[in-house]
Amino acid sequence: MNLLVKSGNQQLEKILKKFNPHNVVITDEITEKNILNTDCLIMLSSLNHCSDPEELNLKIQDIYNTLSLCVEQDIKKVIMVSSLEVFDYDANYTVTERWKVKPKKDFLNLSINLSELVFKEFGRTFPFQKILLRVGFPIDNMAENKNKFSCFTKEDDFINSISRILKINFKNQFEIFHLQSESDSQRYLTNKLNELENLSSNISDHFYHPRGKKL
Amino acid sequence: MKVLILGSNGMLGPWLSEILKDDHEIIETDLEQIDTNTNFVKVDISNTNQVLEVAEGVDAIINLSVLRTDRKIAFDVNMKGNLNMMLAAEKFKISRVINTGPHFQVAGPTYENYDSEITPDIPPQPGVNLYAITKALGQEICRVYTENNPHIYLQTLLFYNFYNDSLTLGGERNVGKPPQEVGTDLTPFSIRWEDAAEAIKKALEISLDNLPTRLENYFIFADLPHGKFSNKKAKEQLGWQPKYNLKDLWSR
Repeated sequence: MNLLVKSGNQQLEKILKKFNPHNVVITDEITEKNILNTDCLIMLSSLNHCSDPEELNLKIQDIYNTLSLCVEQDIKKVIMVSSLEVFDYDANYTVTERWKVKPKKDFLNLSINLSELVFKEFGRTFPFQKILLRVGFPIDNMAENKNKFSCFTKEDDFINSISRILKINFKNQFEIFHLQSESDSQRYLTNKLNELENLSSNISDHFYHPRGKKL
Repeated sequence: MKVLILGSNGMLGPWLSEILKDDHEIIETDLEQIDTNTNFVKVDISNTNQVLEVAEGVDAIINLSVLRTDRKIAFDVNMKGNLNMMLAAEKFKISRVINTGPHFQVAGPTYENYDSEITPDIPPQPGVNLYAITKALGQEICRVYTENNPHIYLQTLLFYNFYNDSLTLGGERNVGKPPQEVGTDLTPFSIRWEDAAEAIKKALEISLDNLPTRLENYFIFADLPHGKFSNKKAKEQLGWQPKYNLKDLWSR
């Protein structure tokens, strides 16, 4: 598959670069030229940091422009890698994909929330596969050992999740998945993504249909 | 009250300042100097420092600013402008914030093309129209800042088409155009300028204790028979009553 990755997080870029067997191109700027023949675009909802209103403004403009270009170029699948930090709930709550986002007001958190909002509206409006993957940060194989994070993702878990999402035909739906690695202090539930292990390549096989008939 | 009006040089600004000037101390702001009897300060709403500077010491902020077409400036004004306004409300403990926008920043095509009796408290579905989505992003910023700052009360008044007394449709693109022909119907979200300004005045003067929550949205339009949208909440909560029903346009 031809994957185009919009840069913005060096660590994620490093992981995705060695994403075999796919052809991965990482770019600062999505253009009509480099998006040609792309099977899936992977973009980030957040910046490494966002410390002032203008950074936030430019980030959201960039999300809007990138998604506009995806639509114009008829890209079939877009994965937005977002962050579980957009849920400012009590740590004991069983937050899943069905919960309303509850962002904080710092610019970084706000930028994640607004990026997701733009993605959702494009998803609502245009027929392409749109997958919002909220990941627990840091993405770090050593995070567990540091014993200080209730939410982190191992590199392999991240790559495996992207692989699974790439394999499935989401039939132009908007799907949200939460990802974090298992640990004793795991904060977020990841049942939905775990179930993808058992899915066929057509997600519509796994929805409820009245009387067994497909709608 | 000392009231800061952002984007005062638009089409609605003059109507609003006219009915506020006798009862309130108003500061009008916009990109370009305007002829006014009140205080005027040149402010670019997308400039954080300028907004913070002019907002110090005010009791309320009314945001009338809007930019519809240019992609970059629409984000600068409609989204970042709202962020700057809320940063000011947070920094200077300003309780009363009144935001304005088009109704389709909430009720976009996914509602409007399908539903009737649409109320202002539906989950926003602006779609991707530049004007709609940038205003919706600005509104989301206002919502998050209000939820995270217990002193802020946010009222959002949503409008669409404005008419003057000769039934000419408002907006700069219609300047110089003849009045609309009677009996030709109108968008079911239309209002006279005077009634629109009066609704904002009501929102400014209502006791904050009388607001059910710190986040209230209102649909502001004339009493029209279409049944597409509902202005009931604005009438009940703000005590606002439109004086003009634009009947010449929606009846034969």
